[in-house]
Amino acid sequence: MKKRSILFALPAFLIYTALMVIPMLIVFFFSVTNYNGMTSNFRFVGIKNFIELITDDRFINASKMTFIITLVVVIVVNILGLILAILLDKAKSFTNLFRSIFFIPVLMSSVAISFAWNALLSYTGVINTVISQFGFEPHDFFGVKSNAIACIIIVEIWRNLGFYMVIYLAHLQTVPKDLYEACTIDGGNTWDKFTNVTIPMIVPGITICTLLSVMNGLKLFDTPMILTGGGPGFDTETIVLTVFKRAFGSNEIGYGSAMSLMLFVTIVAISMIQLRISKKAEVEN
Amino acid sequence: MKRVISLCVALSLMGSVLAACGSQETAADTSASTGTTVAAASGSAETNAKKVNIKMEGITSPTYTAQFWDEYKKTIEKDNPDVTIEMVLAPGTDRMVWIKSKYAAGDAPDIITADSETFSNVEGAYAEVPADLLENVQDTAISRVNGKVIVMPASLQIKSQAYYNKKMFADAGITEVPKTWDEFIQACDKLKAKNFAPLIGCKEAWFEAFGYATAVLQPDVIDAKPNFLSDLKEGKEKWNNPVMSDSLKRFQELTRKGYWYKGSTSFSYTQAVDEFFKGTAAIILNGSWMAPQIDGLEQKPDFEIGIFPIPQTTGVKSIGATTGTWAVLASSKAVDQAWKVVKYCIVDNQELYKKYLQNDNLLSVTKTPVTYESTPTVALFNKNIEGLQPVMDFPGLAGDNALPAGFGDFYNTSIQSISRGTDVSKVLDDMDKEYQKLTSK
Repeated sequence: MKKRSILFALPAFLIYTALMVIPMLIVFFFSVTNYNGMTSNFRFVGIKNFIELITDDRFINASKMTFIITLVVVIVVNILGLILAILLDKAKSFTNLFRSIFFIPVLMSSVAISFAWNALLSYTGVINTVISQFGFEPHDFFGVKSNAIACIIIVEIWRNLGFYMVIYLAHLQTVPKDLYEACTIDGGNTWDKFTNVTIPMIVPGITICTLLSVMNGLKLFDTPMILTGGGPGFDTETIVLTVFKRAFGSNEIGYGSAMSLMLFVTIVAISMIQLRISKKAEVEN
Repeated sequence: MKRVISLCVALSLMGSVLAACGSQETAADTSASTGTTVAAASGSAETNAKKVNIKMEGITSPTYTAQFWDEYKKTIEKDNPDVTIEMVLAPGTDRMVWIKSKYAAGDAPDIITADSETFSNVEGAYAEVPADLLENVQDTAISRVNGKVIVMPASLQIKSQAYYNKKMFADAGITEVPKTWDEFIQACDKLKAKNFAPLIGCKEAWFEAFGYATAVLQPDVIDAKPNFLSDLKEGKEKWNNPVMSDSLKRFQELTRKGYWYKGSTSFSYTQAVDEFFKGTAAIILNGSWMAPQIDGLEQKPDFEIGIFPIPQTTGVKSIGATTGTWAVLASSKAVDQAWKVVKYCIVDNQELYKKYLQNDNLLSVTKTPVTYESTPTVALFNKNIEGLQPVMDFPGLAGDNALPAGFGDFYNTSIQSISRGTDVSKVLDDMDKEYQKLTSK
């Protein structure tokens, strides 16, 4: 039986190892070299790439951008996702319909979404056309740093909200109704039910959603790549976009690998801290 | 039943993953946006008993279309029955990333016809150009890396002039095209006073930097420091120098004074050109390739388009240019045949060479000049550059003075960030740091 289980899992394990584990190990290896991706005569440089990272203004700026965008998106998608899930939970016969509507962006290609939003937010796009009809000046969404960051945040929220809403909805539907009844009997109002019943019972859902939203935020690439290209200048470059440009634009595979490794370690560290905090808050059902 | 369905789904998923893992190039229709092959056969320069298969890169643009390259390759094959040409069309954007990925995967075309400076600093990437082939081109077009010639000059491209809307100029009371930078600013002021957007750009860093950098910034630097790039390489010069700083501050003035059309930052390059044709702005700083594009438009704009050289501070003295070069990969299995094809395209078949040049309004670099009948806008563009000294575009240089790989993008993005208001001195310091970093690797 055990042998059969191992055999059954073997193809997936092999594919996972070939497509995930081995490339990761290769990246770890290249991060301590000066490999340029084109010639085979590279050399070991120790931690030189990592030391350079610390003083690289472009990487520091990209890190700031990534963290700002991640922080805002995480807060908004989780709060808004929970609110929408609560509303949908009460929608009864319309729950499935609205859940499907909100989930549609999750199913769409992020590249297609970015192009569509690019067309909407363009100076001559739909939004500015509507604004002009009301007598207002069209807005330059991409030319100013703050506007460009806001656009990226809005697109990311729009794209991901449905996913987290669905997770929260699923967790809400597992909360036993008798707990709410007990709270009512004890004289609790709506807010009491929310804070003393709903939140403690959906902590696993909150854990998953915050963890996933933080990880997705830190790995952000598609949306800034297509909406702004990292511009204006270097203003909206995220970490992964910088890795891409460094590794493939400047032929710095080694340096780009070092950046990727730093990002990986950061994501693992943040995830472990999050999980530790969430574990304490989880309530046995 | 459920088990059967689950098994079928699992098998088809497995099959699709395995199918995606190894894709071979097969005969397919061309697609300009992703870079695909025009003809059949996979692999690089395979030999069979009679014919040698050679992969040749072709760029894609409004003038270099898939149809153009299809006819191009047929012409080569007709006169060279011992070769089969497989055109590999580069994507319209991110061409350098595409070619680098191809190179890293061992799948780069045998003949590289665009951005060959990408690998000119990579030791052993290119085969040396045969001496007898070099005898056919002008000596001034030849560049050397460590004494060797590894890229074949193929064309001279004049980089940028100002294409302008004659009607807007007339309405703004501008009777003569500007011949100095001050006159250029005055013209922009007059246009702005009439509520016309003087200039249009786009969000792509290469284009935002390109017009001013090739026509004004680089000539300013080379006029004052003729050996700037070699001195830079030797550590005797820096990017942060007074000439560059002053020139870039003048460039920044264009944004401070609100000359750029406000929506420029939303547009791709193609959209920016379309908006110019719609009359959105008065001037677009663009390259020689736009002239044949204008003459080839099916639906002409409802205004006449004029062209003038973008003036430097003291007048119109220089014009930005790039020597287009072709190269043959050293790893090609048919280096000699590939060079034979290159010779055929540039030297032997003058008609074919003419067509290649005419498409983008390029100039020949052969000792026997190849000229073509110019369409009206092309003729006007070329007339303007008569007597002007060409100054080579920094990112496009091959040879010993070539910029390190990847610095070209950094250079363009840095100039873009200056345009958006970043402190000039800080940006130039960053350019020095980045240059040092890339050259030390």
